[in-house]
Amino acid sequence: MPRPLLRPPTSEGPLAHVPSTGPTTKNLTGDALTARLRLKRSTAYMAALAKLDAGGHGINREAARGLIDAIRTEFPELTMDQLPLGIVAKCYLGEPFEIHTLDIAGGIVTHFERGEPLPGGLEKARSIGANPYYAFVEVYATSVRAIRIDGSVTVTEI
Amino acid sequence: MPDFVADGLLAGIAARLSTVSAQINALSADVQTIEHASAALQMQLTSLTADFHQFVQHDSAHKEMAISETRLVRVRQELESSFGFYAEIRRRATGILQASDLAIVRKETMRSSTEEAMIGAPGYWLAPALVALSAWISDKRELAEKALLEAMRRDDCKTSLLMTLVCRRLGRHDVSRAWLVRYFSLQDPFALERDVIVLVDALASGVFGAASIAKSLEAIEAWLSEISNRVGVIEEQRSRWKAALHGMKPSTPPKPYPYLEKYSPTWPRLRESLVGVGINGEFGDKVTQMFIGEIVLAPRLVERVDGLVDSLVTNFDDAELPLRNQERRLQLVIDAGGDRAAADAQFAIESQAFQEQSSFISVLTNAALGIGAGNLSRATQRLAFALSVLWIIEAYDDVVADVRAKHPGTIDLTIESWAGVTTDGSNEVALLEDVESHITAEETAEFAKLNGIRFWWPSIAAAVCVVLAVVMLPNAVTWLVFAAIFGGGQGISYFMRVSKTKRLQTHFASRREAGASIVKASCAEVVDLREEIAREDARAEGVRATLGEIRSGEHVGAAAEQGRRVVA
Repeated sequence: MPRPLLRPPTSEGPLAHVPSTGPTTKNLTGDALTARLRLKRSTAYMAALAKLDAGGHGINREAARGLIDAIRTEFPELTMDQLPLGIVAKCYLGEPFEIHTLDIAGGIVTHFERGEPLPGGLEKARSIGANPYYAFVEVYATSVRAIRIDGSVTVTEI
Repeated sequence: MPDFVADGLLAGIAARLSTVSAQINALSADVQTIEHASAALQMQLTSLTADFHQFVQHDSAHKEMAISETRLVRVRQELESSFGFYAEIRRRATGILQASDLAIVRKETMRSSTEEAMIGAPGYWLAPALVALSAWISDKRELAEKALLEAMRRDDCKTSLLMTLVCRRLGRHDVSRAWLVRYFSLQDPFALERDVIVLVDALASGVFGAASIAKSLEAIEAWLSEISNRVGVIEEQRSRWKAALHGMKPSTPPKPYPYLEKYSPTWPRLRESLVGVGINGEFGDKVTQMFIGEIVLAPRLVERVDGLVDSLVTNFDDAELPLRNQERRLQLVIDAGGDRAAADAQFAIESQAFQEQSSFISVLTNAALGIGAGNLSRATQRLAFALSVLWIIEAYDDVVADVRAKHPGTIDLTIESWAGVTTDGSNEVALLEDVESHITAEETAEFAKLNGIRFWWPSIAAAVCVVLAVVMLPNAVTWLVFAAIFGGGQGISYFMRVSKTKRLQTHFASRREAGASIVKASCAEVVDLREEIAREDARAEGVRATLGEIRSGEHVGAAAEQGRRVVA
């Protein structure tokens, strides 16, 4: 049974339109899954996630849904429970904002001020998310994958 | 009662009160002296405990060193007694080749010497290989082929590699390439013998001809591709590199931060960040040392091949491996000054170099880390590093990310009961105000407590006694004595209060001063620490860029026959 994400998606939620595991999806586990998640991210995916900060405070649910679609497209072979819990990235809105997050289950982009705790297990990615050398950070249940500007992946087990 | 008696009595009471006040002051001074002595004693005790722990560690390390040294001698004696006769045969390998070059040893002598070795070392692959070599030199084809078949039966890979090198040395390029092709055909990239590093060494030192280089590079590329497609193999080597990189962490931060160490509960994490970013400088320097500067190879091809033949026949016999393994472990304990934990951590990184078979990338990792059998040349280390650079970059990225992920965003400060938080030391003024107001609040509370226990009843009682003395003149002396006792008590209470008030004022003034100076010093250290971490962290990008520019093709020694060669 898939592990529940941050919040259980509702029929109205952003993942409602995304098919979970299609018949052609090949389940990856163990080293195969680790190796897959280590692969360099595609240019399209990097470009889509770059829009995370583009809408300023006003990014709407539709735009957030677009970002989640990009994540699903990037990882077609992953099951729902293997997807990131959320995305954390450095916020360029200026002080006092430090970090913004994309809550994948809730489909919400939120900007957080310095010192304001991040919800749902995303706090562990705060330091690395605020680091300017990474475009964004994918937060998984047991690891944090910081993605460099060129799409290469670094893994931190937390 | 006459007035002069009462006056005298009161004067006496005043004198006594003055004495009591002096004694209270003296007692207060004594208490302070005892407090100072107690603090000094505590410091001495702490220092003594630290010294004792240091002594215990030193003694334990000393004993560990002594035991390891004794065992090392025993292991080396065992190596000598069990495999010493191999050494003599090994020396003959290059000896025969050089004697043949100079043509100063009779062919019969060569033959009898190698045949003697054959009898003295049953089962050893090199003995028939040497018989084959001497028979070849003596132009005895049948014997050469027979001996060669026996050598191949005993160890096909080593014999093929030896013949590749020998034929190359003798200028028999086609035959050398044929032996090389045979060598490659015997290999499984997931279970290679350790001697494959000799091949990498040969490539790096420019021993092979153009055709052999092309063949080798083609095989290596195929091996790497095959290995990359199998899940788990690269991951294992990446983990080894990560462990090796973590091992480059300095044991202590380069610069002390005494205030943060003492007053910040975040210090353990800050310390971890400081030593963590130290990896960048250490690793960057190692990479620079490895790749900067020219490598001067032996001027003549035959000398380079002889070096490789020596290495092949000396360093890679599996029968010796368990003892070599023990020898290395003991040597690491001695190198670490008896620190067994440090030696074990290092051996965990090196242990794969002591396995009989391993994957090609494991062999490359061993060579690039400079561990395992023999003294690898810098050219070989460069080539092995260059061939492994993709997963070295990945491992380094992971280690850097790991350190970055653990940088504390905020730094806590605690001075006695006060606690404050800073990010980069820029809120110093606010912290100073906060610590000031915190101490003032404590001071106010302390004085309120002191004032709360103020009592005046002894004064009232004394006054009542005086009134009673006037009213009841016959008992005036008794009442006056009571009045004096109550008055004295009130006086003592007053002097004690005055003394405590002074002490509290001094105490809080000193805390205020100390608190402000600690906050200022801590904020200054936070600024320095953040700068140091940012500076050292930024070096990671430079190291990564350097790694990204390393290309294996640039570190393959070009095929050249003669003259002095330099691998840039």
